[in-house]
Amino acid sequence: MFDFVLAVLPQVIVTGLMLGSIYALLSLCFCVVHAGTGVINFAQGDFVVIGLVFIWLTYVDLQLPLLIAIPLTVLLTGLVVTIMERLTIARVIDQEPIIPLLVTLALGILIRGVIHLVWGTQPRMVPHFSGDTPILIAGGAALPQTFWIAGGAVLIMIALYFFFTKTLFGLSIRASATDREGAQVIGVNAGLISLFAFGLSALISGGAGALVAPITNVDAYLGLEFSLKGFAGAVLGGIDKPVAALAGGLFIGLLETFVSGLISSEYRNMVVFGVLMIVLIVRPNGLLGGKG
Amino acid sequence: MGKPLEYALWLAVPLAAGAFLQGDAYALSVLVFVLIYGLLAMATVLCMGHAGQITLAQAGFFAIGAYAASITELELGAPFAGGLIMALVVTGLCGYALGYPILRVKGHFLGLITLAFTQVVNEVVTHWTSLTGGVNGLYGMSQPSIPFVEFDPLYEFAILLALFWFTVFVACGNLINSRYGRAMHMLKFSDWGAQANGISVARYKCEAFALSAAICGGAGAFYATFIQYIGPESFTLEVSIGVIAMCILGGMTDLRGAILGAAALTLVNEPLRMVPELQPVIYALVILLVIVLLPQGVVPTLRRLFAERRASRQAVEASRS
Repeated sequence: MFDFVLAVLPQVIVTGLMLGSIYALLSLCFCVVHAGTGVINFAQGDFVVIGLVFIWLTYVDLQLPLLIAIPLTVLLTGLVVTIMERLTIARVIDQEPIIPLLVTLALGILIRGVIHLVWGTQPRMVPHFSGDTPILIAGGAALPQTFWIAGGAVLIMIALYFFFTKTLFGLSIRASATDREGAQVIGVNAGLISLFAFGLSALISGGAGALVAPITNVDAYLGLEFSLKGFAGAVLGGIDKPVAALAGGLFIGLLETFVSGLISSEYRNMVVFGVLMIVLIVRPNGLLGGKG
Repeated sequence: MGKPLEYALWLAVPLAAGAFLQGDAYALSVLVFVLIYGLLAMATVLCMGHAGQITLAQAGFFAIGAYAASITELELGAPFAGGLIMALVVTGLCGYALGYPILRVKGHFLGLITLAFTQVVNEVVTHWTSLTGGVNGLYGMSQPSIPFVEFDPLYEFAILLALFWFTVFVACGNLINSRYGRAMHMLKFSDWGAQANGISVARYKCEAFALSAAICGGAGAFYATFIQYIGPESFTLEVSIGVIAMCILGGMTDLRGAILGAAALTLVNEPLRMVPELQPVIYALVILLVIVLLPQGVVPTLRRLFAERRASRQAVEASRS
């Protein structure tokens, strides 16, 4: 048993880190939206699926070069999401928290339904950005796409770091996160922050969607699973702290791959949600979050 | 209108509708769904509207009830009544067990933990093949019928369901207006306030979850024997979301409103099953419209409008005299 574990360990870690960096980006989105608006956005995973659809449209269908296809995907995802935010979430943002949560859940059903309706059930393939010959590192095989994903995730995180520490919008989102009413008193526009938080999370999701498309293919029903995993990561780390949420997302990715690699892939979701429930019960502010 | 008369009317409507629709299997099945979703909506009102505990666990308890009843019937050869009792007991215990550990969690985190619960139940049902049949599900349950009478068998089922539905309706109505119910209602406003008034917050929260879970479980038992097939895909998160939308449409704090909301959304949704590609899109759009336009619910909104009109009329009359 121990030998077996040692033998698959490098592979599990490589795959886990790849999956984890996607979940980390999603956790970060949960964090951004929750910070700006106090809403838990369960359409988050479906925003990623919108990104998947646009990368297929631009990269596969229209055959645009990657350098144009990826930014276009990011922008289009942002555009679609901001329109939806204005039409639905913005109108219920000051109701009690369950109402916006339900709106995002219903938006998720809507997005899945529309994609299913327009595209049918057949998942679409997106070719790997730079071939699919695995690269061997430290005893594990990694697809070249892994580096695209990990690199993209790091780039997005660096950009976000500057956004949150250097720009007025980033600072005002953080101000809202600390004290929503206080931020409004000193002139932070709550409606604009909501639009901006959702828009930003959509840009991140669009980027994430573009990067993972070759691995996951384009499937309307990935959305809810992405949402749940990203949220599990955010809560595990602590939804009020971006860095903790990132770590949480990475951990969920690793946990999931460990369970599927060493026990059975049937149990991976059960373990992830079980861990999520236990963390929510024992430490509602997250393992790395402060005392609430 | 006197109370007994009003209650009699609520019982008479589904029975009369069923009698009228005898022979039309499709219409009767829609009626059955209206009643089943009515049960789920009442459970939601009890837990969320009345006790203020946000929950998305309805689908999970619905599933547990359905499987508990089916397994009792199939494995032990028990009659439907045995399955129903088993479903009520098992889901009630599960509700209590879920209520206890989540005492520390509030607001939308409570919603999310119950969401995780629904998801875990779904995963367990999918993968515990030896007990639940996995993705193939369970089938072969028999519909209960009423002895000594000869009606359309579907109508007999609808009568039994309507009786259960009515019992739950009366019981919930009485509970809400009782001392016990008022204590439970206090949880919605303030844990500390309840505590200061000598209300055991832990006990009432757990019992709110257990009662609401048992109602969902009973609905599940009826659902399983009605469809005569259950599989994991019948108990997804969409069920919980739909049920909450029904309650929001009717009014989260009002049993009658929730029942009407359940009836309205079921009547919208059932015909949509004929067009499976469009169904999720239209259903989600309806839910979104309901929540965005009427977050307070139809019944409370109407009630407020009437109250305002009456108040303004009284003000006019007062100024004249």
